[in-house]
Amino acid sequence: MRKLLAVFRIAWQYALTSRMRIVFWLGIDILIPVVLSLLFKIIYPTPQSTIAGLNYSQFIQYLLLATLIKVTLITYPSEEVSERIWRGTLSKNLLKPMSFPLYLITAGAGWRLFSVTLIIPVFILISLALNLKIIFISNLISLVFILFSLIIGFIAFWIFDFTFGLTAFWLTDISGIQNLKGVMFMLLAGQFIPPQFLPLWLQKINQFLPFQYFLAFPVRLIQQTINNHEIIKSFAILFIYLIIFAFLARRLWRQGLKQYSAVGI
Amino acid sequence: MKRFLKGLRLYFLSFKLRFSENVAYRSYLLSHSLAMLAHAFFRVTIVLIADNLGQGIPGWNTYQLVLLAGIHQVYVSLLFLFIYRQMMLLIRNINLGQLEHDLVKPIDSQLAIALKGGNLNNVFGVILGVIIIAFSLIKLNTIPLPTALLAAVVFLFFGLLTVYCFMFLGSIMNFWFQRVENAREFGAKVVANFNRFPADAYHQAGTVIYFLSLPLTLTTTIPTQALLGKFNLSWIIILVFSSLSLFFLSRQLWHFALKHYTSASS
Repeated sequence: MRKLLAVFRIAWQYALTSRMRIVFWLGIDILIPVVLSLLFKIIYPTPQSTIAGLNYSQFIQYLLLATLIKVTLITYPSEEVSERIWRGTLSKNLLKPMSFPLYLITAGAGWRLFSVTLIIPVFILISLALNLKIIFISNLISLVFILFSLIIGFIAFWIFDFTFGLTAFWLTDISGIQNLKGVMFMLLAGQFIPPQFLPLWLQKINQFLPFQYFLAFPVRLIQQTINNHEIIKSFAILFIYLIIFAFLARRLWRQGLKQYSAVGI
Repeated sequence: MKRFLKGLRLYFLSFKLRFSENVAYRSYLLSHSLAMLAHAFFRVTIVLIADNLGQGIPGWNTYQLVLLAGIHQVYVSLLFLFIYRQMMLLIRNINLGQLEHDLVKPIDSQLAIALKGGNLNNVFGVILGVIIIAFSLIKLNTIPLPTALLAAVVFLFFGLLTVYCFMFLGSIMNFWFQRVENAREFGAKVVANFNRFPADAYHQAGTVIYFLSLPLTLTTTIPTQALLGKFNLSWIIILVFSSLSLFFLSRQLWHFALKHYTSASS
């Protein structure tokens, strides 16, 4: 535990030395909701009219919550993993007396904590300025469901992304795959627009893919725009993907280490 | 003239080297091409969603929006082909104190940086954009005149100049701030997210925001309108004036920044 705390402290200190960098990342994250909120002003005939069950305020609220969850919980271990495999610096981590995935989670948490401390005031200020609701939880059960979806969503996405990173053992340069994953996440997870805004045929495909359960599902739970049947189905799909990716990650990690030759060192 | 031709030959040589580098990892080439296909699909889907929801974007029909998505595809691919990597190298050289290599060359330093070879994989992105443009023009029953085509290319150049300046200004922030490599990314994303939709789409956002966003949104709106044979003189003036002003600003700031360059860590 002491080792992990040390890693966390170093990551936090590193984040403190990269303040401007984090501000720019946050600026990029906030940019999409800003552009879309301006665009949808013309698409909504009146602020009261609804599109796919969301009025204009709820739509803005959706974008803000999705951004907040993305900044807080969506981390990309594949970048770190593939970089280390490519450059051969993974060897250093393999020699350290701690599990590599645990090291990545802890280091990522230190960095994320700093981002969260910056974005939460921004989120509150924008919500207050636009007269949006900030507190959503109406009862204990919904709070449990929301927390559960956030935790499972975080773990599932982390393993999902880590699995992609491990393909670097065989492919070396996976920036193309990461690019592909990024655009699919942007469209299907609900980072750009709520999944219910997608064309019907794409919605049908999307319900069997994991993306929307990482991001849009917790947001819909928070906004209470999802029924009980969908909640159960979403949790079930999320669990299935969690198991599939955990199995895949474990297998790829073991096979990959046999393949690893520390190329680049 | 001889020096210019020599420079041109070196420029194409650097592209050739980059091409060899790009095809070294076949899986990368394949996955990158797939990613570009996904990006093109994303661009078209997003404008179609905007068109189908609510009252859509007034003044633009479906295929005009698809045409805009095609122009955006070409725009972003050209950005990655000619600008993105150069800015990445500039930032690396500033941070490592290795900018001297560009500063001692017998040509303008800003030009020397701009002329480094880009990422040739993005040619596929340009081809995809041209296919989308051709498809939408066929659906619109429009055959652009050669002058309209030329105008679209010229306006696209001014649009690229705008994003170049945004990225360049972001990149040279590295002279003063530590670890702000992503400042150039921020500059690119500001432009490439705003100009995903036509300028008219931001009309309801308020007069100030609408006018402030014009230099960004016109970068793709004007080339699209040029292909459709529509020319809005005031908008063209805004695009040309803003891109040239930004370029002037980037040059001034570049020379100012160079005075503060200490080649630290080299």
